[in-house]
Amino acid sequence: MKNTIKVERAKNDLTQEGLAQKIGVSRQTINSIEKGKYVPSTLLALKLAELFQTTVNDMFSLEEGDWG
Amino acid sequence: MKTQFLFPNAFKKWGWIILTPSFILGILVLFAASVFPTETDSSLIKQFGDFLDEIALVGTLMGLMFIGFSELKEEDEYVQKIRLESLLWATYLNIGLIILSTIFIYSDGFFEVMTYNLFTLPLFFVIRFHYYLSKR
Repeated sequence: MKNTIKVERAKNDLTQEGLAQKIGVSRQTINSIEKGKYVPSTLLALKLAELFQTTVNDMFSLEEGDWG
Repeated sequence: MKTQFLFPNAFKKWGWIILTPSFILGILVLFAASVFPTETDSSLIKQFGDFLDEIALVGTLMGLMFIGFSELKEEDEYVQKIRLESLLWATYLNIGLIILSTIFIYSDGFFEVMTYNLFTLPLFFVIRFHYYLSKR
């Protein structure tokens, strides 16, 4: 699964640590999500979308391998 | 969203404080039995010596439990995922080792393996959990 968190973060001038604090997770979790190592829960995805004033669909998108 | 019961964060530190001496004591009891009271010692010392292995095992188990099942300062859903995955992995490894030792090790040796097995599952879990926490 791909996501645009890094881009959104840059647009909003937020560090990983800053974003982590805003949505109540650790910096490592943001880092892992950005690197595609961890897929966040629906709850966390909704929080991210709300914070960046976008939608989950715009932030996260499926890749080929996700259908396997 | 709180879905699991975990010990408060402060228990983690106590886990290490309990585990360290208990684990060292356990190793001494298992491998250096000669440093402990023998039959010829007075009965009071001998009775205390009889309790050492119990203290070591209970302390080791409680220490490992507190270390593995205390909330981290930065507890979040990713940490919970790593914790549960580590528990699954440790259980598979433990079952695998029990099966192997059942097939290949007999009598006294098997009894010895079962002694270790009293604490290997939480031990594997704690090691794997912290390794993956550091790799995040």
